[in-house]
Amino acid sequence: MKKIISLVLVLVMSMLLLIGCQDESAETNQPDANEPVVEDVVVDIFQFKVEIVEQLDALVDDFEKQYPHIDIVMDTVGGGQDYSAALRVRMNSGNQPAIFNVPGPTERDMWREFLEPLNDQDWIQYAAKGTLDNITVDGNIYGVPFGLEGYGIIYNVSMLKDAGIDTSKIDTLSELSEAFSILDEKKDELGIDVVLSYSVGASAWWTAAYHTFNIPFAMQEDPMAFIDSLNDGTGQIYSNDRFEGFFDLLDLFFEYSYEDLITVTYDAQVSNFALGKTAMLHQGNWTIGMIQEISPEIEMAFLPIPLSDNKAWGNDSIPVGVPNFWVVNSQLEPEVKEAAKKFLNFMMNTDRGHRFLVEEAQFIPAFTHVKIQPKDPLAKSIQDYVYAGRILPWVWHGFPAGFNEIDAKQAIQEYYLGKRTRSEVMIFLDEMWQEKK
Amino acid sequence: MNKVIDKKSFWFFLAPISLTFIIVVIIPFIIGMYYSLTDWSAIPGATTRFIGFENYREIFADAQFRTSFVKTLIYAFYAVMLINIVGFSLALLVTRKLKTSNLLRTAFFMPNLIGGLILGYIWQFVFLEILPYVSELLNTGILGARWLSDPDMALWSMAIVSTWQMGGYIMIIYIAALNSIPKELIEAASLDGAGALQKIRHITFPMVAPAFTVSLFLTLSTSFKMFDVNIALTGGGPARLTELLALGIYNKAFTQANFGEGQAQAAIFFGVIAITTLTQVYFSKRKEVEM
Repeated sequence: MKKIISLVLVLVMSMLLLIGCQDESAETNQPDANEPVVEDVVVDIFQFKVEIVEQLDALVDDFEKQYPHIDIVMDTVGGGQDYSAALRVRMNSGNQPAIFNVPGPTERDMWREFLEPLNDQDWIQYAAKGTLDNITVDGNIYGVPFGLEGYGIIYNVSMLKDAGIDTSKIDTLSELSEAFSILDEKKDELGIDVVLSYSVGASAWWTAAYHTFNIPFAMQEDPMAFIDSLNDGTGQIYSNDRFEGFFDLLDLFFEYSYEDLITVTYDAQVSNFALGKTAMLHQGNWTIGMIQEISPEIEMAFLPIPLSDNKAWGNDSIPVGVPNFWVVNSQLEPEVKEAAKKFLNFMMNTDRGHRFLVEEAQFIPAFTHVKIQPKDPLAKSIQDYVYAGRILPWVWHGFPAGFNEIDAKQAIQEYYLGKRTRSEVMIFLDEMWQEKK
Repeated sequence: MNKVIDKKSFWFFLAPISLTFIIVVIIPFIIGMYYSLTDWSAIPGATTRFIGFENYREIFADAQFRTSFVKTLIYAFYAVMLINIVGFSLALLVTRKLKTSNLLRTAFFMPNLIGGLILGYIWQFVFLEILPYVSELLNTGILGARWLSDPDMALWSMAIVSTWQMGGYIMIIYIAALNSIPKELIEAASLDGAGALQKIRHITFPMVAPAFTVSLFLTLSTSFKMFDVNIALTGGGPARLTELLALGIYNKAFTQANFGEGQAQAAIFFGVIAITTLTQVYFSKRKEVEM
């Protein structure tokens, strides 16, 4: 009896399996009566920006309404997760995405074989000057910029006004230091715990290891030439005056921020500022959604991140760059590539797409034909810096793979914990660069 | 005739599992060994050069690999001790004739059903928010320690989380062993006037020795292979001082795009785990008593 029961069970289960398979194939083979006869195409998108998932989903819905035969499948890995590692896995999995993200030269060269030139797309001519440099090789434009982003020291406008600080004058390290000490004295009056919301670890490690660490590179007379000199061994980080300034800046940050910077998470870092527990925040304009969710009316603007009092270094400027590019996978079938380009066109060249870029995703548009102006205070502040020409480049895309995530993070944390001195940290960074270049 | 059918059905039933084992374990293992001798970049289509033992030479010059190695040993020591002590104590507790013992068994086993990544994030919250808060309320210093920002405390934190996760599982193994101890032995000892501690030392310990072998093997190998709680709880920080071997290999391969060297580290890692656990099993086996 038992045997019969188990036999029946096995049969039923295998039947179920077969039925499952059959069902699926039947579904895909029978086109909907309303659909045009065009063959169905699936476009896989593999992107990194967790902040815009909902907005992107809405855009995809509208796109699919217009092109019913195109099915967009979106996957997101980011926000502290390692996108480039996940991308490698995905590329090896046999299910390669049609659209993915490439942040800059290092990855661009790595994936060159997989990048489809987009020169024939008519909207590419509207890209703002310089925004395509990192994705162009020999005149071939391989990607579309997400938008512009900038970071700096975000400050609470009304709080600094109350403390009697004239922010327009803060463009050197000693003035920033003075502003910090004034705020620190008036802590109780202003109701803040610490002056600056900063982090060197937990889920916000990148704010130090990418963004602060970028400044001494970006302030070199010629940042790209400096990176080249590190690569061929003629230059070094050790004893470079910009890096001395970098450690002066870190000392200042450490003094006026939380007691334990290793465990400050991204959520804590941003929400403390939004809740008015700090007067300043070292972050970028992508935090706007989170801040406004907590306090919609908060008035904010950017201060530069100065390394010294030397006017020639660009201490009055904030770093603005293209965080990432959309690229199309050249190794897939022509109809998939065509559909992928259609989606990018929809994003970059229609009113719906522009609304997504500026209003929903709150990017600062990298294209001049986008008529909608950003409304949020951080984007406006960045645009002011752009118009005034007070900008520094983002150069970490030219670093060896993993240099920020692993080595810069370790170096800054060791300096913070006092495990290595300033010069030891610089020697360590030089060694690691030589090892990995 | 029957024998032939037996043999056939033997292989018939063995085939699915051995096929799966060969496909997902043996073949990737061999491919991995090959990759550890190359400069593989994991980009499909890119050329892969055979570079012999270059990757292995690199490893011995790598200061971080040594740090990770030492930290893994320390962590494994903490974790194996904690998990087994806690697991065994829990087993002693729930094999008493308590009314709630069934409920307790379930409760203690529950954390094992939660994945390590999620546990890591939950405990991060506990260490960073709840414990300092409680310590402020109670005005004690110890709970408010820098659990995750002090490198030594961070290792302990990881061991505590793994104990919370694995303690219940190991408890089950010990329960099975404790229940199989013949009642006569304990009764006889009681009649002879043995105290509770004496009974545990001279009867319980020798009788559950096979369970110790299994539990030590399990905890030792999982502690060496620790990855999920590591990446979720500390991420290797501060300053890569809690980056255990598995996370180090991941960073080398995926983050620094050096798959060949990462694979070579993994090969060494495999050797170390195999040798350690086999040695442990060999010595524990000798302590077991036959009934």
